[in-house]
Amino acid sequence: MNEINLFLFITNLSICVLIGMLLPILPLITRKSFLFGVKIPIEVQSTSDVKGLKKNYITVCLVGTVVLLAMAIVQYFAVPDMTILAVMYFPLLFLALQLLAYIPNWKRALQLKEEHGWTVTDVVFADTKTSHTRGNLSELPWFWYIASLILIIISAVVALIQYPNLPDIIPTHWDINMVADAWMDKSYMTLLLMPLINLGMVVTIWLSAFMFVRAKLQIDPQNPALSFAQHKSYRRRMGHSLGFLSLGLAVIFVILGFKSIWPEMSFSFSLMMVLMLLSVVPAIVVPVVSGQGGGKIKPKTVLDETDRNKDGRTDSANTHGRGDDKRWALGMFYHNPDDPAYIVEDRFGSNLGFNYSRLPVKIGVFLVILAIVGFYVWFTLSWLS
Amino acid sequence: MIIEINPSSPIPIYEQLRVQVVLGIAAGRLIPGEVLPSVRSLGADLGVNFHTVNKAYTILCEEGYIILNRRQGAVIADSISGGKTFVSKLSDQIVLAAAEAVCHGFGEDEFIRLCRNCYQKSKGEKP
Repeated sequence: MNEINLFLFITNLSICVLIGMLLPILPLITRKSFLFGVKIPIEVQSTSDVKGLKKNYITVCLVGTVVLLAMAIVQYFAVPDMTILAVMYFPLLFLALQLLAYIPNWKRALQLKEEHGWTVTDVVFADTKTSHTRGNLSELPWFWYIASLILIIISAVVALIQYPNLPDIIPTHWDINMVADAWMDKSYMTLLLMPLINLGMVVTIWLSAFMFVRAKLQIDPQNPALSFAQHKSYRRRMGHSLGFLSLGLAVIFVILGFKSIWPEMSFSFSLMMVLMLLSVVPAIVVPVVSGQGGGKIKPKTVLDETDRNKDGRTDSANTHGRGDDKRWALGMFYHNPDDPAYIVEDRFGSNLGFNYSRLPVKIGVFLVILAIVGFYVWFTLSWLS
Repeated sequence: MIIEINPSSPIPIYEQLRVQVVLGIAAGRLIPGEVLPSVRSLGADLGVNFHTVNKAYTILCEEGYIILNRRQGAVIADSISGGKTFVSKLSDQIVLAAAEAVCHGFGEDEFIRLCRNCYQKSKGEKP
């Protein structure tokens, strides 16, 4: 039991450090036309006011992270049996920390915009050509998902073939030394558990890759051709890094599945961790390196395309971005009933968000929140009793 | 072609869209037979209601600039001829422009020269 708690404690600390590192860089990887969810002229990014807000946010994040890490350590030594709950609830505390650090700066950014009279045009752009290709599923790198599916099918088939030869209980979980510490009665369900979880993960990753293909990314009015080239490159990179993650997880799950069938098979815990880290690395590095919507990518082919697109690019519009500030609750949640888009670029961080005025989005978000809250309540109550 | 819309302009969005497409056809940036994005897709790209896009397409279709068909959606028309109604509509527009020019003290030659420049400009030629 103690070893499990130690393992959970290490997991908790790693998650805390990871989120703690991620939060402060969010304003730095957001598009330059936004300051804490408020649309601003790009030129003012270098003013001391704007830098002050970012410094403020980063300070609160770092101090908060240190406090939360201290809390995690105190919790482990005071009530070690609660560590599993800590793993569940510390990410929520980080969410609260982010809101605490973000909301005052969002308000201040709105004030600054008002005080300085920063104006940005609302002009929006669309290309009559790329509209056709956008949302094209052939842009998804299917290879990764097909490979993952093949691995899942192989592991399921092997499990079914080996079923008659297996003992009555089979291991389903292993500790740090890869020694089994949890068993379940043999049944088809137990044996197919790993492939099923794996399938669920691959589908989830596929869905987020699908989101990147369908998302309406923002166009820089100064150079739309460059934006389109960046979008294309960004989608390709995201598609591959997510596909790589999918295949990496599939490999890990196949190994774990085989380990259930042949417990004598030897795989070290560190090898698993290395595999895990390797699979995640591109999905973390690519968005940071590429910038939001591919804003930091410098495509080679764009020079010829720029010539083709030199039509009527006249005004000095110095921003891009969907919707008015009023449409963005807290600068984070986009709600525009006039906009048919479901998936849009976030105004904070380099992620995608939803148009919360669309009915399918409302239903989906409601179900996800319901599932998460339900799981937390169920797990917490059953653990405490 | 890049379509450019300003949602906070006093000109209605469907009218801005219509103007953009007409300017695009005149300058050869949109060629006959070219397929325009679907109503939903263009609406989502621009972040405007798809009824607005639909309205613009319907007007463009009535005026003969595009053809709406079930299979491909909106396609730039091969030949655009509005007949007599177009001539009278155009002369109405020019009458207003000419009247304003007269009010501002433009001479006839000056006005004609301006018209010629604008005509060449909309065809994408350097005046």
